[in-house]
Amino acid sequence: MSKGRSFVQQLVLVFFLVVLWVMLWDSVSLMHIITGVILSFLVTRVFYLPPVVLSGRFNIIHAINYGLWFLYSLVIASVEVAWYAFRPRAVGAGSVIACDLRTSSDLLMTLVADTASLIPGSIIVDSDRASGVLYLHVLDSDSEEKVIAAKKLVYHIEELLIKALGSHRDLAALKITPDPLADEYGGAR
Amino acid sequence: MILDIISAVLILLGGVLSLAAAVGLLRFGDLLSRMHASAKPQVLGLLMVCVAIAIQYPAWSTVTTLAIIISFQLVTIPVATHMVGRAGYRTKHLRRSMLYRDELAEAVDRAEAREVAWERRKGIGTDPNDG
Repeated sequence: MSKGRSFVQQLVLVFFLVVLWVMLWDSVSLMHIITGVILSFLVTRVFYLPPVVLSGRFNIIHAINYGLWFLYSLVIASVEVAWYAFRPRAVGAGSVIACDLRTSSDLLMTLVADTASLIPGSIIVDSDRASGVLYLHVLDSDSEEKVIAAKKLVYHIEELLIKALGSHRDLAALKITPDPLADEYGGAR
Repeated sequence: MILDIISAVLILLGGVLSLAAAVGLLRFGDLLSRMHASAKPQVLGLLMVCVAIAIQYPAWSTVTTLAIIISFQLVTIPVATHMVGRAGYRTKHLRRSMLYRDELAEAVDRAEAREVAWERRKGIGTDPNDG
């Protein structure tokens, strides 16, 4: 990565930290902005993180599509897990599934993992960064159909995110394997 | 009036979802299932309560604070559940009977088999302290 680009990314990070600081103070004033800028520079220097590699691509329509889909599944799945808690029958066995993601970007992998974690019914147990595999625990998945449905959900999240902010390489990977489950299950599905 | 009713309903639903989280924590069978209950339904519950507060106090200062609360919740919950789930899995705090399928165990087995094969090829022999 060139030096200029990482400087711009630093500025973006500082900008968002200043916005956060001003929001915490509940009012916009010159004093808050100045202290915010000073603190943000200090924080980014003291707690240095490896720079997040952005793909340089962002599709607002697909991002909105992703956001709406996320809210919709959050509602549906929350009700579902709440029902599991209240229903008389105890919850069934779960499964740990492996999802071999098509993307190789750290940012996208994190976002897919976060989304899958926030949508009730699946949590991340482990991840293999080198080969891009996520291991998720799925609640109440004691049949082959439920396991496949859970995998489908994770790949759908990945597809939405790649369309919203994936790199051109990820988009190409998406085109090559539009349905990773078909490879895994010999085209049965 | 209508706004009051909407926020009352939202707070009630948020409370029910948080209650569901507590009930699930008690009733689910193993650590990994309980992680679902402790982390999940109340994300939406908190969101509803925050929206209800925003309806009651529609001022910028309130809304920005609520936005911060929600975004921190959304950012920290996956990390927290991931850390507990991963620690639980690695220290083998699981009930095998509560797992229908475990593809992570299959992957671990494959990795171990590779390692043993590699050691044999190098002529190191297996480590007596292993496994």
